[in-house]
Amino acid sequence: MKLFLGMTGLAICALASSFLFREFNFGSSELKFIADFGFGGMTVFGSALAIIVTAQLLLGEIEHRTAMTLLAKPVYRSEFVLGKFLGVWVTVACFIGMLTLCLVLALWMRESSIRLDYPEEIEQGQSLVHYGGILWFSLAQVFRIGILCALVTLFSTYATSSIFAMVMGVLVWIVGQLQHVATEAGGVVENLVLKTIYSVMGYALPNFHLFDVGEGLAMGEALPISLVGKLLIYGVLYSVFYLAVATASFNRREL
Amino acid sequence: MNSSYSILPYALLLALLLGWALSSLDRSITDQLGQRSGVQSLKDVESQFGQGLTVAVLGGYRSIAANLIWLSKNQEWEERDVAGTLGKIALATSIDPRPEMFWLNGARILANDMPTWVVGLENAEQLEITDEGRAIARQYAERALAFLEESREYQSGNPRMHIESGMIYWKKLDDVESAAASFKAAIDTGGAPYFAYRLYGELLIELGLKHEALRLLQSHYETLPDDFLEAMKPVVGDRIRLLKRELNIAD
Amino acid sequence: MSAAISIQGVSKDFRIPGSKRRLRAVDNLNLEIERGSVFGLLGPNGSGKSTTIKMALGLVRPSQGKCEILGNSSLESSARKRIGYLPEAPCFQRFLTGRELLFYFGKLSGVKKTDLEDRVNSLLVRVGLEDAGDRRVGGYSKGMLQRIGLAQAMVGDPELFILDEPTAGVDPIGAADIAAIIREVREEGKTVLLCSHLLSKVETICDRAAIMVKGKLALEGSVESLTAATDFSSARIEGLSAEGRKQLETFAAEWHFDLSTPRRSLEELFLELAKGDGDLE
Repeated sequence: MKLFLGMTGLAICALASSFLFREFNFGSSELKFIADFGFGGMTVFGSALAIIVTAQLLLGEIEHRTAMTLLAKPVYRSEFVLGKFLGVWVTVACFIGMLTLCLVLALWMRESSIRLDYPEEIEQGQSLVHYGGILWFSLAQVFRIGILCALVTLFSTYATSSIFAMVMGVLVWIVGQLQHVATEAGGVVENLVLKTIYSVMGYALPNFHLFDVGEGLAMGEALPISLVGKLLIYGVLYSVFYLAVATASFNRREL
Repeated sequence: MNSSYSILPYALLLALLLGWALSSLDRSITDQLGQRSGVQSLKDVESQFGQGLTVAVLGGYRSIAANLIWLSKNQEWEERDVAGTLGKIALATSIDPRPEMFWLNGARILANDMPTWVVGLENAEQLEITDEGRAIARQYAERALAFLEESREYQSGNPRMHIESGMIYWKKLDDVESAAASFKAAIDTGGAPYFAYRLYGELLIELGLKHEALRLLQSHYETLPDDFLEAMKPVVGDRIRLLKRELNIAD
Repeated sequence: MSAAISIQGVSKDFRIPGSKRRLRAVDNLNLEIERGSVFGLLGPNGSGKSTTIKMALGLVRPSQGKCEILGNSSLESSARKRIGYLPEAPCFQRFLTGRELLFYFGKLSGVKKTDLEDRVNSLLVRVGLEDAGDRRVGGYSKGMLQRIGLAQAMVGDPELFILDEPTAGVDPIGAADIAAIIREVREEGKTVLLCSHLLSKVETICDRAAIMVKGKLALEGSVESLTAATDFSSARIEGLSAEGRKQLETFAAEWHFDLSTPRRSLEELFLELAKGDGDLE
């Protein structure tokens, strides 16, 4: 709870700090800055929260031996793993929802003040911010965090300390963001060893970069429904795969 | 002790298979998003700002990293540091080429501010009077045009890039024909602001294509709203009447 | 009817990190615990008791052999529907109140919603926590944790109880209360597997006991028979018939020595076995 509130506070502060940045251009630039800070908060703080809470939740039960009493009840280990995953995912989704609300509020406030300051520059009925686009971005982040939670759940099922699971989670987050670079680099480099390493990285890990659907969504860029559908399928398939492996791993774990 | 580690090799194999199976979906999403590889961008970032910024480039803070670099460019701008300002503009656009603001303002700094920095503020009039000054102005105007040309990859479908090119051709290079072509490209792209039509009309008139200018302004006039000042409907109406008088066409 | 717990030829090896050697924590254990009895599992630290319990609960997989609980494999989740387990030094979710904890474990145990509230209330009274039920478990003393632990083991009304050190950290009055609960539970026809170092308590509560030393079963039998030890240093008489015993008693009376078979405590027996690596002298 403290971590959740702490991360929320940090993210809101980061969002509020965007108001300190003034640009020479009025309107869309400043709104873009605010949107960027909000989106950045969702991805960075959301990902950090997902990694820390997942590792602590599952491994904490094992380290404090509360898992023994739980699993001595008629509870399948798969239920235990899935329950932990869903608990974290819903929590972080709520965090993203709260940030989305704050971002929408911040953008609406600034857009309203811009309209008052420059009424003749903005066409009647024209919106400077595409609020639907913000919701699409938030949804994409929820899918991304689902994959990240599933991965950290997997690490937690065989790790002996929560620090290890968190470090692995951060590594995978970074490598996942660079996965598309690894895939391209694998096609470019000639050294066979490097080629193999890049290719393994490229195929073994999900491409988190796909979920950077464009901060321009807030400024009116369209996001096709088909793309949202593809991201959902991608997110669900990877999440289900990692959870299945996590369950198999946890089934073999001796408490 | 736990034996969970024993499944890791199988999990890795399955992960590779899944990645291979989903690679086509991955490519499909990438194509739809129109994203580009970050290889070159990351090398630039590391060479300029060190490893720490690499992480900031990732994910949600990529835009913020670019924004912060853009803001920090103001320091070099105030110091009239040509190389420093150029470097920051290039870095910001390479980290995040999506914001049009980077390209438009970058081009304006190149075309308008940098020639003045080179000759000195007190000698600004030389840019129009002396051959050497005009050459410097031309050089930076062409650099601005080349810079805007780079943006096409990331800003296709954005008429403002063409408008900016048009203004540079017209005001800096005195190339009315190329300016008119740029404005036409902006209008053909769709979503061009009202003033683009008016300026294109003026350029056509300057090129002696008054009939074409009249047809353009007449068709544009039909689309203008009555109650929006920026549309300048009365001004367009007056221009049409003036053109008709010049061309001896009845109202 | 099958035994409450049936352990057949069970061994458990653990890998030693950084070495190819394996540590055998339990070695070819054979044990049958009948239903409706209180069975004490004893042994020094590191004797394999906890590992045996974990295998019975399915928390650890045996390297060899099989383990059955109430006729079902211990590895099946359904087997645990009828088990109540109290771990040694129990840890629970600190942010829950005692009442909430019992509700939580009650739901996990499959207790119907309609029955749960009454059961939780009665359990809190039974374990002496009716005044502390609405306090957070994080603020409980060690004794209170043991009591709430016992309550959560009972919440599903199980047929088999596995209690690991149920009276550890509990004052003598509390320990007596817990012992009374165990006796009540036995009278209800349930089975209790009790693991404890407090041998005096085990002696008074258990019907049968087993002593493990270094992963092996050293001794097993009724408490009565285990504690009916003879002083071998005094005499060792084998195959004595009734007639022979009469003559011996006459001889003892003539020579003025005591022929009765003195009892020794379970603790004495335990210490003898533990120090002697599992062999009785």
